[in-house]
Amino acid sequence: MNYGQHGRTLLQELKRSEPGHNVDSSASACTIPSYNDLVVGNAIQDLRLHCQALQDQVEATTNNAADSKPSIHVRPSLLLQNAAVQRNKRCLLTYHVVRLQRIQEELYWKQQTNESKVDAKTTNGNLCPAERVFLQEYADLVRHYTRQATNGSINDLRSYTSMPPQPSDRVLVRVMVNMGPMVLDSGASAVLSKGSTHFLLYSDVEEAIREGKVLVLNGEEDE
Amino acid sequence: MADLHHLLDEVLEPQQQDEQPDEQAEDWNEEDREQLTLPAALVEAERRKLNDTPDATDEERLDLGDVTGFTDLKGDTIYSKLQSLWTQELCSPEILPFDNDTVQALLEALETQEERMEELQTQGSSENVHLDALMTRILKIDAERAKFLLSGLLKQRLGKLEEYPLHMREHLDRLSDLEKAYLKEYGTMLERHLRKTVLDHFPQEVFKQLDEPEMIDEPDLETYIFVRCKEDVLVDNATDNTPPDWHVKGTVLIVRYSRIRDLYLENKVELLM
Repeated sequence: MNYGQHGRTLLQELKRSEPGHNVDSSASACTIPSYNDLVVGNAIQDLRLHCQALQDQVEATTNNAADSKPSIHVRPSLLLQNAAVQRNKRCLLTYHVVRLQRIQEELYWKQQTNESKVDAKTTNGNLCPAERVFLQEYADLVRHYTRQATNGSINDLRSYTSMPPQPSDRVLVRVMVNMGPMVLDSGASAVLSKGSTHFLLYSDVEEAIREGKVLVLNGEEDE
Repeated sequence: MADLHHLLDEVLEPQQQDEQPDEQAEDWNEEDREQLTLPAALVEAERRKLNDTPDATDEERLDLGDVTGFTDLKGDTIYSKLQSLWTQELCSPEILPFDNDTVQALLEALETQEERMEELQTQGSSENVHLDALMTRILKIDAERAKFLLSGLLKQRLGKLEEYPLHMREHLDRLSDLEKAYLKEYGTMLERHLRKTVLDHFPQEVFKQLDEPEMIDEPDLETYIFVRCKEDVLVDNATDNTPPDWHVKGTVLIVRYSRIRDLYLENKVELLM
């Protein structure tokens, strides 16, 4: 009987995989570690043992009469067992709920942008079957709600919330990543070398803005 | 110097130009007094700024009201109402009452715009083809902007529902019907998942509870936010052992949300980003 140590292990795992926790690792660190079936199983087992101990103690001390309460001497022990059970339950529920929240955030809402496209395939392998089912149901629920709430004019909330809306027909942009001479969708061509600024149609550069390769200027910079 | 005082008077009251020399003489006496009479337009602008209505009236701007369809009868644009709804929802720690009228009006306006865009694309005459294309692009940008605000608002509300699902059961009156259905479905999914992974493995029924009072998270109402007073208000700072303060209309305060919560629900203050 472990008095909640396994629960503590689960919480430590969550804490270590928190976004921003690992300063030295790269930005695409995985915030959804692999589902720790082993420790979860241990924690549940621990909880059952405590439950059993609690029940045994109560039965042992109230053996004499059906409605007598346990004597005052065993109450601290009962409280201890109950506290261990509650602690295990709290840790287990926290672990699952936090994982669900991170799954919703990383694997649904951030999918439109390139922020976590790299992680999607690896983290998908980290989910347990129940979590995969939950993610699928969640995606369906949000899509259904969006379509109903906007009378069909918006199909996917993610496409409108990931980036600010188009400011005007054409935008002044500065290139952050060297892309060399390029022909754009509308037929215009430009030499997109790093640091150069251009005044281009928004529709041409929208993808590049989304990916961060090109930065939108608002005309008030010093240079 | 006298001209500056009367510059706006000339614009507003041209018939009084003859009286100007007399007024100048009178004004010099009046200026000896402490109170200045401000030009009428300045007073109007101050009043408008405090009431926070849109800056220019619709007559002074290019009248795009009927083209875009975003103006309702009162002259206050649906778009500006949506913008304020979105700002308030972002700033507030708890979920705010759902404004069904604005959202429905916006959806209708969006539909009208889409129809108009299709009309322009299919029926535009060859002479005005460039103008039509430009108009279509402008309408599209306008619609995108409105959709951005609307989806931001909806997503923020959904986020709050998901974060505190059990607590939201007490605030059902602030949700739209669709949100209530969403909350119910989400709660069911969450409970099913937790039962399957954790709770069904527990030996005794009594430990399988999910909604005991101490288990329910509530949003933190003690966060600090910026507010602007729309009227003279009394704010209670009970922790300081000081008596409540009166704040005049127009002041901007930084205060705990719990202190001004009732005032906000009575619409006497507004939240600032």
